Amino acid sequence: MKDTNHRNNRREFLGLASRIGAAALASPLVGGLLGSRVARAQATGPKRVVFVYTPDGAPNGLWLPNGNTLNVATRAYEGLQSVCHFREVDVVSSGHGLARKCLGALRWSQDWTSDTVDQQVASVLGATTPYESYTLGVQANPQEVVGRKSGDAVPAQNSPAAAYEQLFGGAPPTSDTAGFLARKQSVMDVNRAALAELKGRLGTFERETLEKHEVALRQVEQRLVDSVNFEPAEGCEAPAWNAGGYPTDGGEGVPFLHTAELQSDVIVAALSCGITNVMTLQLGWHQATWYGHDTNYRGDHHGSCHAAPAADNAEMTNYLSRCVAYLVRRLVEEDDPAAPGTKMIDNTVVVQVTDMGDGQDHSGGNGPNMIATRMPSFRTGTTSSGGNNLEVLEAVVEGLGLGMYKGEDANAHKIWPHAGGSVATDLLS
Amino acid sequence: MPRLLPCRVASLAFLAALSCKGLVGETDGPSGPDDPNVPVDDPNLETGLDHWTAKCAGCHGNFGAASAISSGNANGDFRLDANAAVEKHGAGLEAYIDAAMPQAAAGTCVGRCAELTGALIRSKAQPVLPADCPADPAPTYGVRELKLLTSAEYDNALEDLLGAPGAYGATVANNDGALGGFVNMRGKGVNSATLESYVANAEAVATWATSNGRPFTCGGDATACANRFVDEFLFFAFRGPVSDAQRAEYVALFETYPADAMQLALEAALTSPYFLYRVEAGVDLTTARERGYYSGTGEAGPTNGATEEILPAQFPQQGGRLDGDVWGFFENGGVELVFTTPFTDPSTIEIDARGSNHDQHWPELRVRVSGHEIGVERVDTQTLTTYRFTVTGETGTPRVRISFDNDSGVAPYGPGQDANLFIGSVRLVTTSSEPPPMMPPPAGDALADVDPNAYVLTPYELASTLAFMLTGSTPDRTLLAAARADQLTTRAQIRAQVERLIDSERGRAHFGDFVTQWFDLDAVKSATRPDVTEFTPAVKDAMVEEVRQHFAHVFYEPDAPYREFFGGDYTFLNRTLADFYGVTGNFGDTFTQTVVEGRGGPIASGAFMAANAHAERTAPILRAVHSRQAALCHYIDPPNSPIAGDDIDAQRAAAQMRVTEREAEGTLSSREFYFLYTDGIEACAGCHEKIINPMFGMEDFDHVGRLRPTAAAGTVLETVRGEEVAVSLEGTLFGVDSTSDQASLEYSGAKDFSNQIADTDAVKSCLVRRGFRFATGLTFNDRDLDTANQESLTEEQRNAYACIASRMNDALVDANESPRAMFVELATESLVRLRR
Repeated sequence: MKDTNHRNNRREFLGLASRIGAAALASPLVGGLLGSRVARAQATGPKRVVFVYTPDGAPNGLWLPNGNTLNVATRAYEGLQSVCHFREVDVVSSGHGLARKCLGALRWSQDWTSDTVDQQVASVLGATTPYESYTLGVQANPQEVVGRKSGDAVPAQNSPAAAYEQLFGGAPPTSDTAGFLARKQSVMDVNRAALAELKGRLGTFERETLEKHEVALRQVEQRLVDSVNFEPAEGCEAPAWNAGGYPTDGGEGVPFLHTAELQSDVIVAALSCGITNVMTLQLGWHQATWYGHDTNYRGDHHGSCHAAPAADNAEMTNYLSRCVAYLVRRLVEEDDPAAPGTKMIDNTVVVQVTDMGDGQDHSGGNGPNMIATRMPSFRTGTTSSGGNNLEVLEAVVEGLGLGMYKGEDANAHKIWPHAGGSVATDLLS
Repeated sequence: MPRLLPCRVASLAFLAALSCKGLVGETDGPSGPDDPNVPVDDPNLETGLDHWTAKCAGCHGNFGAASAISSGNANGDFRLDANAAVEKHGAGLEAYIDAAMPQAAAGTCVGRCAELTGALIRSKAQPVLPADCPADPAPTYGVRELKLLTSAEYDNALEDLLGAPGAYGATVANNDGALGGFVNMRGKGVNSATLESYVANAEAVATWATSNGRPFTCGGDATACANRFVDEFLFFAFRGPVSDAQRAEYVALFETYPADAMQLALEAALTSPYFLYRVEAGVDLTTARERGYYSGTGEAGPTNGATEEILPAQFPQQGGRLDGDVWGFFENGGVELVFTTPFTDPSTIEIDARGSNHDQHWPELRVRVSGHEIGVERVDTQTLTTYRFTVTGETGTPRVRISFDNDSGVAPYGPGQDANLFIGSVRLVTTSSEPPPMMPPPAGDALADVDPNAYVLTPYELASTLAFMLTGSTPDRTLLAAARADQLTTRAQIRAQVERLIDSERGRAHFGDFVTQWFDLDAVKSATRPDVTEFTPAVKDAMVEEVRQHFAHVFYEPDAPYREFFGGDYTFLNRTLADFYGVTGNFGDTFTQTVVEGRGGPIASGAFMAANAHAERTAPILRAVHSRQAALCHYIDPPNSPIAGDDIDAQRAAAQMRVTEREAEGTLSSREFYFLYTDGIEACAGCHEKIINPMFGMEDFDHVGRLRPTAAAGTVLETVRGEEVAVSLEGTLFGVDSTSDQASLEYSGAKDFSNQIADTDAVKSCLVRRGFRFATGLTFNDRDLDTANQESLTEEQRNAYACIASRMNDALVDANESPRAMFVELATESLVRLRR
């Protein structure tokens, strides 16, 4: 009912405008949905998190640093040790085809529709941002995406250019923003009515799918409304990125690291501008078919697991570490506009997870997990081992101060407890 | 009586490899089951179940309603696939349990315990095909669906509706799901990010369309424009009638924003759920009966004759003029059309037409053929409607004149300004002198035996389903016209449309996509081979097209049986590919059938061989595994953590040492390299010893799909980092119907392998299996269930779908192994229009 009235009022207004001789209404395109124009509209004391998936674990004995002395597969973190906590854990149900499990669909084995932890955390941390969460990929396979929400895969955007365009592209018209907004909302109203009609026609069949569509439509509309009501914060209209001048399409012809760096640029800009507080970055997929562009080992990551010495596998794992380290380094260097006087890393947690312990034999032991942050609730500058990967995720939830949202009633709680364990004792201050 | 496929179970997985350290119960289990007096064929198998619960369920889980559970552990548990266990161990299943299970406590389930547990597992195995299928099949039910368009369907629809060029689907983030190896959007919805992509695409397409006069330009009355938009565009974009409520929404849009109306209306249409989702939900049986669906009472429509369509844009410049996508007569006049298809006696001319009304004055549509008047119809509707004229006594290609003769110039409008006649497409529908084969008699009530709980697709939903199933795009005007005219009713009518769709340009491309996805041919496009600069994108594209052309040949040429896809001594080349392969001849841009020794088919192809290779080496493991999986539908479980025993590191190190030692002696071929890396590792032996490594004889192709130079007999020369090394082409396929089948084939090189499997039942049944999955999204085989998407089969589905597969196989064989005939059979099955 509300929407109908809204629409009619809009049309009445515009009809009036037309009759009184208003200029023909321009029709600038939305393009990107202008999330940047709601930038930094968040409260102080931001909490952000980036989940990073890396495939196929790491060769046993070659990943975990010895104190501050980095290992073969973690050399890329040189200079970042103080903000990192390297943790080896058992990867529960290690193996192929399990990416979403390592991100902890928290009621897994019992409930196929459960959300991955990034989506659960986003339901709290993303409640007031333009995007509740946003998922990026680097050569991520569409059929093996890491995130799940409401029983559906959360697609990863493999193209940095497309992600940048969506988050920062476009601009609302400089005049007649009311008319612009009304036209766009009228289009959405037509489809809101179509959704309602289709729901009525189908009854309970696929109701959830159509209701998700309605929610998405509301979110898109809200971003549209916000985009004409707010000015973008400084540096958020077209944030700088791609200092290396790399190709931005994310295709497999682009060096994996370069695309990872571009996606990290997008992540830092999106977090910095308050477009979202929760991002997920999927580096490849479990078959690890990516190549290193400047590695001595010339085969793909998968080949380094099964037909190469462990040192080669470690080199490829370190290539992945270079991807993650670039992100962490950017967060260390970037001022946090939402909390003046601090850096992004002070208010952001990077959580690296994987789907195997050691990809060479698909075993689950000694799986490389890593936390990078300077949030005081986390212990960093150290290494540890023990427990399992689900316990790490539980610790992250606690470290972000979200324990109050945990509970077993899916209708009443936004985050489901899953692992317990003692890992939190080591990871948290 | 249909011929029956042999009843068999599907291929292998590895019970042997499964372990679950620390999760197995320590108890000895119930004492009762070890009683030797308990018969193994205990009808309830309760005793075996007790053992299972005590000793096995900790790792393997409990058997659910769907008894054969994949062991792919995609749901996080190392569950048991009963079919795979029985297939792998055969008569030795109980002995294996006795000796090795539970893996963490071997020896605690021996003797009677092992026998009873084995009996339980055997009871859970399911045959792939039923023992018998009825000669007169009962109605079969597909699954109700609400599916987002795939990227390709989305792009095709935009092109077919508006002529919009571009790959807009690719901008929707990583959104194509898959089932059983084929793109499928079941269960996928939109989130705000993907919806934004659809919005941005709609804006871009609408801008392009309006600047190019699409779907039409309309500068007059806003309400009339809106109605025209609904009738002439939305009806096709939404694949059926538009509700009054939705019509009112669009009328309001046009009236409120007359200056931007077309832009906004297109934006709304292209982001509408009616456009973005394929709705295959149907109506309940009572409603279907009330509406007369599939009652066989519709007018006699096309049988298995031909249909030719002339669109308004193709009309000759005589009377009237093109107005958007219809031909408008604004005063008396007419046009003369000539079809290239010869008339049969009788034939039908179908004309989509609508009129405008002034003072109850409607236009009349007059049709003459060879100067003889066929009929006159009053066009008293503003909605595009199909008018039919039966033509008798005409053959050849006579002139067809369509005219508007009653423009009377009623005051106050004056001559030429009152009623107008608008013509959409004009179709000639011929009949065949041959009776349609294997057609059931027209049904008095085709829904008589349908389950009361079933849903029946509306004719428009059926049109949409057939179009996406057979062309990968939105239904064309002819198909929707048939739905509108109640001519998608009988199986004969449906079959005529099915054949037309399959034979269309879109249909040909769609079945090219089928084989592309099936053999993952597009993987070659992302293959990077830095050492071969001439391995260009154009070459890679041509490699994919080579196989598509070969498949189209056996698909559409009645004289080319399917076995020639694998066993033909030819392939299809254009100049680009011939140059790359080093084949001499007179080649142009068009692909031509060419005999090339050592090449031909999906396996012995540049695309498959280059895709299944590494940057600097070939990949004999991938070639073996993917050949089995793609061509023969063998199932090979992915290796996961349970394969690793305590000494896996030591075994792997030993393999590494062997490689190092041998490399010190000289360059290793890829065949030797990967053999040494995988040989002697106990946990990997289950697959590599018999299923994979003996198939390393497909090394006659290098890592970019070129044939290697021949060395001594049965060997070729492989170049590894600049050094040549001889490599044997000797290979053995152990297991033809499945990985554990006792049959085997010896071969020398990839083409010989392809030739030898060409005439096997396994190759044909794999086509049926993959074809069924591609077209319906469903499977009849437990081994093909996608556990990551929670797929399951009921007993009824398993049997009914398998019987359809049996009929598909019959159609294939009866038509000289024609895949086309197989898909025609499938598309006319009741499961397409009946759902549950």
